[in-house]
Amino acid sequence: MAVETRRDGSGYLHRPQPSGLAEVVDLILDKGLVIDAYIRVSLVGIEVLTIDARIVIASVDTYLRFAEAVNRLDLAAQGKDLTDVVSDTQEGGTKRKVSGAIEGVKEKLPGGGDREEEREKETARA
Amino acid sequence: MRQPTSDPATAGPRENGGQYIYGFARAAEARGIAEAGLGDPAASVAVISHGRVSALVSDVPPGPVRADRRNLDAHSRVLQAAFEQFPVLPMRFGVVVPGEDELRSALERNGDELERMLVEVAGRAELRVTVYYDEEAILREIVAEDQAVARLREATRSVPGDAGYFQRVRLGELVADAMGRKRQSDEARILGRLRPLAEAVESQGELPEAVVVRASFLVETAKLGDFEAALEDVSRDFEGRGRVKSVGPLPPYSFVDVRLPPPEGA
Repeated sequence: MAVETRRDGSGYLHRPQPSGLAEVVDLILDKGLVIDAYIRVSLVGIEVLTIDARIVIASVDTYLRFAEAVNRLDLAAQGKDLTDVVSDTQEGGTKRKVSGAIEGVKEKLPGGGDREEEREKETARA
Repeated sequence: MRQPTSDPATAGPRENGGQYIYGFARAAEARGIAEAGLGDPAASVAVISHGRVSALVSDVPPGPVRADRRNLDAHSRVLQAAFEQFPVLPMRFGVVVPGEDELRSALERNGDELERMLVEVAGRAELRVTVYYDEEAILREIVAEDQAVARLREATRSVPGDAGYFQRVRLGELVADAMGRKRQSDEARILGRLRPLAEAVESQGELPEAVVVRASFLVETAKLGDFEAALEDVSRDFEGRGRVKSVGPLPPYSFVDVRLPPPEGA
């Protein structure tokens, strides 16, 4: 059984436990074998899955966000020690990085059984 | 309390009620799974065999089965436990057959296909890899590499409010374009490193901005070490620019994305 390991020397390779629900919930709901006509479980509760749609890159809002982000960059800080950058990144963690990037574009999963590969599910709050 | 068995004649004290299917395995290999099944109290997981294929099932509890955390987790854990003991075809969450007769009939109809797929996934696991950008680091790269971006950045920083609106839109567009090009080349490099070690790859096309790659790899168990080493390479390659996350080994969810035909008359 693979468990969470974090190897020294490469703090970037992050391995959550494979059975962690958040890591596999979209696989369980979107992938896997199906026998047609036999999906009889009441998928009540699916709607509480929060899913996050991708921001369309070619939009004025996105451009303005990027413009603001590059304007905010403190280039003087560019010379900061690499280890600072490393620890910043690690402390940031997946959740913050991801939620920062998808900025609240959230929608409800519209009922069970449908498949929209485009969407990005983040958490199950069932 | 729990009587997992591969003998259909003694498959436990169930009525001929609905059976929730976790997955399929070869009858010669399938064993009962101690992990708790769906429902509250949790149903035990049993093995129902027909011909050379078995189904891992549990009784559907009375009342609606909810796709809540507990049940999703049970589905995932049962399959993970099974996968660690024998090759398994994972079902998507939520597949129920009305009773054991229908289950046997499904195994009868689809047994050959299921057996063929079981041979394909035997000795293989799904590894799911996600590579995230550190957005600030990437923006710094773009400002440093792209003179037009650097110039517009200087120009718009000193222009407050609406006055610089169109310049800011243009700046953002240039940044988005540059980021798109970076993603393309980074994605190609990552997949180029990992793909040769996998039997199959399922790459997710539409991704959040911060994600460079999200892909599932079907990897032979014997090559898992090589794959891990390649992941370490990718990870080092992204030092200071992003992070690599790997989940697995998992049951091959992404590689059994198949709909079996409905029963006749259904």
